[in-house]
Amino acid sequence: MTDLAIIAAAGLATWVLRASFITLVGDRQLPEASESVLRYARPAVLAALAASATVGSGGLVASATLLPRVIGAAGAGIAAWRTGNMLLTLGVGFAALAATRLAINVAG
Amino acid sequence: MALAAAPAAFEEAAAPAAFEDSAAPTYGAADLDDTATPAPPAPAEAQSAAEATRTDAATSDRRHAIRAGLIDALPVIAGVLPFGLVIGVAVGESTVNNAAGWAGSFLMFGGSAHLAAISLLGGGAGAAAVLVTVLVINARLLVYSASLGPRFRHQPRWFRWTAPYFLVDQMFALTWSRLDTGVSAGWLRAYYLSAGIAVGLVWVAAIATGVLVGPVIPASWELSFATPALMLALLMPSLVNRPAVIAAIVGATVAVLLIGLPHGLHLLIGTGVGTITGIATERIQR
Repeated sequence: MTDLAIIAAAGLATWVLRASFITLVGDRQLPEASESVLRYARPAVLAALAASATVGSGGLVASATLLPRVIGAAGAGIAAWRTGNMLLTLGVGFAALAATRLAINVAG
Repeated sequence: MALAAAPAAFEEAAAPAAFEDSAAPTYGAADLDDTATPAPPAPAEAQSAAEATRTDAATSDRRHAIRAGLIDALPVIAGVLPFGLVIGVAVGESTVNNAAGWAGSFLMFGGSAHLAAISLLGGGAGAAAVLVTVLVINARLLVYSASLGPRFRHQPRWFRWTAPYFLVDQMFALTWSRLDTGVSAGWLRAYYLSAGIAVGLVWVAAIATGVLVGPVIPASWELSFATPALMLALLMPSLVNRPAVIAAIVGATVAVLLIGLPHGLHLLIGTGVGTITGIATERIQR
């Protein structure tokens, strides 16, 4: 499948979720058992994505690029946790990334 | 007091106060439920006059609703604008075709799932991993749909088919805050659609701008780091209790340890193990 086809399929799946109780089945309630799955699947998948995107496809192999990204992610994580502000999260994350890279360059 | 006010509101239906009057029939009743308040038989002349007043009222009602929708959309737009720009930059950075990545803005109309899909496709994940991840991230839309479903039941069919498209977190919050304010079903439709279309247009344009601007920024800025940083910002609000924190830690650890697996399987397994750990922790705590 091409990227566009996959994105279109993802869009259709998203529409079905949105339309489920408004357009499609109408007068029904969400089963209670689904609540815990919904509550814990979201943090699990977002954390898995954030960690994978930080580390990159190379995995946990020590490299000059890995440490600044991990420190940057730690900075972004703390900013997100403390402020809940998206722009501040990006700012602190990028600042920590740049500072660590600079420190490595100076030390090396 | 309410009894005295009701006929006045009916006769001066063109006044904007009519739909703010708490004594008037609330949402759903005003322009759809014609059985609720059977009108007394009236002479033909009076009836046509009343109809003309009602048409005027509906027009002014709609205009008021559209204005309210656009005004309420402004803070939402201010919030999603930078997010859209960064997603556009992420599209430009990734190996995903730029047009296909941008098309996600209107095909998916949701930032977190869109960013995840781009990140996964750029990493060589397969269709299954992308679809499952998008479904998991967007599962909360089921909750919004289930909450609004009963409230939209009296809306016309065309609206029930078009409204879900615009159902993002912010639209749910806006609509939910207006539901029990005594507005008519028609008012709510105009409000919902004007806010939704305004947010949608800005969203699609912001992502396009990000795609175009991204390549101009030097590679040394390491813009690809915006993806994990944004993911962390999206993650924090979902850490509602200790089991959720444990689900996140386990999900992240498993995914990173298995990162060599093909088709994005590391994410699926990480998500699955993290979710199960979260549910198990919740059971143990009880």
